[in-house]
Amino acid sequence: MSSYEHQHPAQILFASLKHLSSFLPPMALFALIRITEQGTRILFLFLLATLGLFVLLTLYNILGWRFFTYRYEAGYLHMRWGIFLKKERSIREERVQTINIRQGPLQRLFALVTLQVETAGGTEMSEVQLTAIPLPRAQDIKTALKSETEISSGTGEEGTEFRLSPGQLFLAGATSGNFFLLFSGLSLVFSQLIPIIPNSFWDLLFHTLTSTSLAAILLLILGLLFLSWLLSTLVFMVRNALFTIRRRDEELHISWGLITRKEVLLKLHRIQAIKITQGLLRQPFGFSTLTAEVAGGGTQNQNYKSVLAPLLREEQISWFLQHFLPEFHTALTPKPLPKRAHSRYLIRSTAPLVLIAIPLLFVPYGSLFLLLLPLALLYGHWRYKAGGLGLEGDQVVLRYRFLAQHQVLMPRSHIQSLQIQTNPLQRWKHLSSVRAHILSSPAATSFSLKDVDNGEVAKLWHWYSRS
Amino acid sequence: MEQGPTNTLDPRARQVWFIQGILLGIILLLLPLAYTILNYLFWDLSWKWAFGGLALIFILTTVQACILPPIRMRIWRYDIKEEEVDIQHGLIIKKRTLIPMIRVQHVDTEHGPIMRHLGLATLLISTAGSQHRIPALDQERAAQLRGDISRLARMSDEDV
Repeated sequence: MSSYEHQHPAQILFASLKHLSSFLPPMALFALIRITEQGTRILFLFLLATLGLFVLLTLYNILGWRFFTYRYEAGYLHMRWGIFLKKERSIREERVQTINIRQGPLQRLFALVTLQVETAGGTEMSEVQLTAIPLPRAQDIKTALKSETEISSGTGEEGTEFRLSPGQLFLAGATSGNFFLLFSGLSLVFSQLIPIIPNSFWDLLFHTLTSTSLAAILLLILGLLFLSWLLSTLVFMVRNALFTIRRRDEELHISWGLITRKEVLLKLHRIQAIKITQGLLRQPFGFSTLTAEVAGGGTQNQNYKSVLAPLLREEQISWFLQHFLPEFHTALTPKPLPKRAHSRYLIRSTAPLVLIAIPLLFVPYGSLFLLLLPLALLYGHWRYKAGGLGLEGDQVVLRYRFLAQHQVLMPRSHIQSLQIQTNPLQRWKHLSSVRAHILSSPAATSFSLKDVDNGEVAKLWHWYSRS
Repeated sequence: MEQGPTNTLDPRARQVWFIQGILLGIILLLLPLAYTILNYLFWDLSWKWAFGGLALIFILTTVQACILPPIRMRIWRYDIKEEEVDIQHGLIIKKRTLIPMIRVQHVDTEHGPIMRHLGLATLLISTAGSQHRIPALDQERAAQLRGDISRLARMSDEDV
């Protein structure tokens, strides 16, 4: 228990030096550029500017220091700051993820430390720092915020394991769809290489293999496509070779890679949602990829969206989830969208096209653009077909499509907030859009589905609501 | 779900929005002013544009300061219950948000100079995955709500 206090005044110095250090490199660079014309005079000017800047920053930071106060009590840390825009923040122990105490060389001079408190979440506000407090104080605050540590039941038994066979690895690489990107890269490289390609190559292409130039160009494009597909498949295979996932107690061990072997240890409670993705190329074969949305522990820990299985056949999915993540279930199929949503999906996919087409009608051949209309209609229809919402127990399933079809499984306890949105046309048709926010690193994400039947939305609302 | 939340914002919110609208209008006035001065000094273009700009700013300011505030006041609704926060806003695109107490990470209040003068504050509710705001509440009420939510969030805590 304490009343609101300021930090140590040395904070002003720390903050000013920190701010100054971000100004120095560009200033030094500028001085360096001018040094040939101005000689040593620029050095003097540089020092003067630095000094002036430091004074200004100090004045500013005095205000900042003056207006920043903090207070702590058992289970809470309170802070107030802001010169014009007053802000207040209370952090309670249950939300604290990590507490770090560290000391830099300058802080050592004053016997002060930095206390850094991280709460869960990818928002910019998820981290607070007290940069000039004495060590005993920092330890007090740490004890005040210390939540009880988790106890894991270490039975130590060896769990199930899933390995990607070489055949599956090849299929996964072959259908990954990465080659379009590579294709554009390769085409660019190829166009730069044209001058140094030997004439014998062109002879071969234009005379031996084909008779018309159109066929030659087509052949060239096909060849490049094939080459990029081959390369991307190879790269994928090398990167994901020997993919293994194993469950042990409350952890998933995932490792992959041939040359650089990567390993990830996923604590189960950090998995916020499971995403089943059917890529465009994988759809005809009925293959899916399983990924997890993971709440991260810090910014340096990459790989937030962890791949749980690069390739699974349709019938393997529920087997996989049963064995590795019995907490999630896929037994339910999402309820499709109502018929009256169909036209809205069609309009949504064609409207932008029509808007672009109208001015084009006045250009020669512009009306050819309208040939894309059936494609857009098909796309809208496709998206409508994919849309679905399902509830079972304490889990919700959203299915939707952009190009790939996604199916997201979210437990109620991991949905941070739920939003229902309607526009006048939707209200007229008794449809709503739903959006569920979840925690995911580095940034929080949300999943949404448009034009859901209001009855289903009400069910979802009641399912999520606690009163 | 059927009936929306019931609490309205503080009536003084209209004054805040009115002042903000007027201030924006004044700042926007700089544009036709700059045009006029530049036109006088360097260019020789039509004066019509300055008048057009003036008219546009006038309309915008009227809408912002006089027409929208009462509408906004009417449609903003919130409820803070034991277990969840329920917010509804938006005239054309209507948004309804449900935030369970156990998901609330922290609650902030925020007030700029205008709001402070009128004794109002904005309540910011953050979960781990989203941030939500209830604008223009009485300062004391906001502080009280901040305390309430912190307390309720703590009480209904289970797992993250």
